Amino acid sequence: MCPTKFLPQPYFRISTDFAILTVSDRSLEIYEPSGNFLDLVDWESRNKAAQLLAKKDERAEGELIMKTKDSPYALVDVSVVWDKSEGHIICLQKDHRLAELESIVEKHRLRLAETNLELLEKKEQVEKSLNEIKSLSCPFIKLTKGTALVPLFGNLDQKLIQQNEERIMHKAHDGDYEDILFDFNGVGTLTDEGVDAFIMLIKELQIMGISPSIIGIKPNHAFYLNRSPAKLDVPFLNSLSKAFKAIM
Amino acid sequence: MHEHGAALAQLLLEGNQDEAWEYINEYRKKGKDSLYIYEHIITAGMGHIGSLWETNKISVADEHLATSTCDFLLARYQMEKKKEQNPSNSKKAMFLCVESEQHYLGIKMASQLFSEAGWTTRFHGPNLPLEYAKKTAVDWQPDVICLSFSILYHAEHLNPYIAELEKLPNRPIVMIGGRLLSHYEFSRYGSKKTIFMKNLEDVRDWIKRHPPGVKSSVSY
Repeated sequence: MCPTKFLPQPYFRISTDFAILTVSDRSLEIYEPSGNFLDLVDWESRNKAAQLLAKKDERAEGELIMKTKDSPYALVDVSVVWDKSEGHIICLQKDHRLAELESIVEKHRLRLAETNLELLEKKEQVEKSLNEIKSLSCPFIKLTKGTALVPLFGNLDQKLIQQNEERIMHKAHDGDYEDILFDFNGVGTLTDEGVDAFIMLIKELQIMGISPSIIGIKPNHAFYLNRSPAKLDVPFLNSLSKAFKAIM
Repeated sequence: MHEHGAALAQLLLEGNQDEAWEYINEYRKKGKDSLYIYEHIITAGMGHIGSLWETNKISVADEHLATSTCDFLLARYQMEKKKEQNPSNSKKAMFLCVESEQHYLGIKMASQLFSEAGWTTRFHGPNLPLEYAKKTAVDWQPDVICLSFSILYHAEHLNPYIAELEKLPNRPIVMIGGRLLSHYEFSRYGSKKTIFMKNLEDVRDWIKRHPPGVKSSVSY
């Protein structure tokens, strides 16, 4: 009796033309009876199998897709050793628990992919909302035929000015305004870049022949405005009513 | 094309999402269209990974990592394209792999070509059994249903899928794709109305001939 019959794994002894000479009982439980080892290999894996089996001077290992009784394409780890004209092959099917784990990981991956996209979409929505908030933080209000009020809300940073300067300049020009009052009562903190951008805006308005005034400066605002190297040549007034009287 | 294949394959096998993204984004910025990126870079990359497995250089586990990295790449690319594409209109297309089929990257690229052209799309991914496909199609009423398979044994599913889906009340166009179609003939599994796509270029050409804004009774 051949002792390999009782090997606990699928075992094949083959000839140089890959004809199957003996198998273990375990092989017959998993694979259909076959005359040639290549007939057990999936058609798309046959070239790979032939190359693996051709390595006769060393132990060869690799993955093959094989036809089992349960599946026409099972993933199998194959090890081959040749002893002169006989090849000895062990075929270990990839553990099904691995496949289960793979499918769980796959589900998590899908969930993550969805979440990732949802987050990106939300991020874009938030950015859009922020832009809208910035635009709303700098409304342009007509007071009289030649005077407009621009109350600023929130923090005076570069973004606030960048996003609104073009709109303010166009409105000032199109409405033929002479005086524009920038109200700082609603401004929280200032940044150096924000102050520089604001001073640029004021100078651009002055070049256009418009007289800007600034009202409602608080102590912390004064500190920042005074610190900027570019000085403002505009009236500073502490309330809207005073500004209004000055213009009228 | 081979050059792209090997270069991208290496990044995908490392799971290097950021560099893989930079790689395709360079070509996007140079003005290469989605068809070029999908067919000549991504498909070539995944094809190269297949050949690395065939020559025993990598394992199936490596392929899984490359697949999921590639999936992320496609999702990010679509996000980027969404910013420039036209809003989708009334024509709808759904995409799925037949039962047991796990290879979904190809049909994902096809679905992204449709959505880029202004179609409303639903991507159902791998392994969608016929009963779920039918239920979704009855509820959602897509104009086009695209099926994909990559393993020869799954071709046997085509017949029931095509027959059942083509006879739905809204008479959707059923379209078949997959890597084997460029090598073998599968028309015997379909009807006269079924459309078989050999590659993504066929898909792009079909989309060009059927702009989503024009409702048409022509089904091929």
